[in-house]
Amino acid sequence: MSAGQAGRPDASMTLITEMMQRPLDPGYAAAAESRQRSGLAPATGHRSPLLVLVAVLIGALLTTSAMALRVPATGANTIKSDLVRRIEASRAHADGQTRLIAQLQLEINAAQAAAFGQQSQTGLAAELSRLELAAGTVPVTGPGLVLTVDDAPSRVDRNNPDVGAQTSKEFDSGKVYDRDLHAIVNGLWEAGAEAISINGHRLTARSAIRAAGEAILVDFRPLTRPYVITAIGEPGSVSVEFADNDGGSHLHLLANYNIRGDIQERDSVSVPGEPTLSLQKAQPVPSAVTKSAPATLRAPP
Amino acid sequence: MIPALGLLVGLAVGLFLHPAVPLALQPYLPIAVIAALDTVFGGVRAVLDGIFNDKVFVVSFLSNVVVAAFIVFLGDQLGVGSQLSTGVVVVLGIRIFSNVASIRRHLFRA
Repeated sequence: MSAGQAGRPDASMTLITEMMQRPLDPGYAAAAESRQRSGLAPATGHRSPLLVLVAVLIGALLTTSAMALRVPATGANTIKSDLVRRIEASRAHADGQTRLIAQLQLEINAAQAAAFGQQSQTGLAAELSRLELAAGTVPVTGPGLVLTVDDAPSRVDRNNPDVGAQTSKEFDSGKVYDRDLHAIVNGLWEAGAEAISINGHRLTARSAIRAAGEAILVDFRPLTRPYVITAIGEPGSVSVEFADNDGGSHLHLLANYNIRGDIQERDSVSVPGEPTLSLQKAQPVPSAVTKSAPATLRAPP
Repeated sequence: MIPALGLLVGLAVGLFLHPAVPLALQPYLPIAVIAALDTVFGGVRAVLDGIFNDKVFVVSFLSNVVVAAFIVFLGDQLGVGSQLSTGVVVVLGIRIFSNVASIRRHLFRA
């Protein structure tokens, strides 16, 4: 430090100290000094036209920015909330139709029972309930296991619901895809499961597990993670065979990507039915049972 | 008083005429607003200190807005746009608070 300079202890912080202690533009002080030296009053008047013009400009700038910057956010939000509203309306309609189907199914069952009772076709009634059980239209219960598969935890934390959801074209290794569920469900069938449901949707002979965008759908119903697969079968043998076959090894492979899958054996699980199962083009091949039934009781499509 | 009326006139003009801002300039609007607020409060403090100069006010307004927008533009080109604009906002914010504090001392003796 030179002897002629008064060294302040905080001389190296001039940037911060200047900013905090001299916020007023030094131009004002300099201009005031020069005016005083030439004999004028230190402050100029308020009425110069240039000043008024600049004041108008500042006011216009403030309101223009406020209005210009406000619009984009609401534009995107209204579109998004409109789409969400339409989705919810359609889903409510679909749920209402499903309830109607279940109600009509009950009426059909009652009519069938009455018809069977009248004609004492107990053999046919037993055959019908066996077919319903196998086809998957009625809920079933029995021993089995519950397999829960979930996305990788890091991926879950990254999900930001505020960001506009766009279909990701890249393969995200931490996400459960429909082909993972294909392999797991196939493995369970192979291991001897008798009834399988995913997140409460029964898998029947007509069920498809597919992907739409980022969601996995079963029969057009989207699933949300975690994916809970309930299977009815002999718990010990099903889980052992599953671990041995392709489904189990696929699940094991997924663990490398932090996709969590855990299997729990239960003494009693229940799997819901799928009442909307129906066939329109397929006709039954005549067999001994159907030939012996009266024409009015042949199974309707 | 007259400049304050001018400010109100400008607010009304912006509100009713609703000038369209070109899309390329929209990212610089927030920083321009903060720079304008800084000069306005600096001007009010100069008035209360008795050393107001309209030429200095006009020049400092224009230069503040241009420099702030330029720094943000430079930051966007270099890829550090958000950091630089944060820095500009912090500095202008501190200046606004200091000016408002001395205005408060003048007006309320508190």
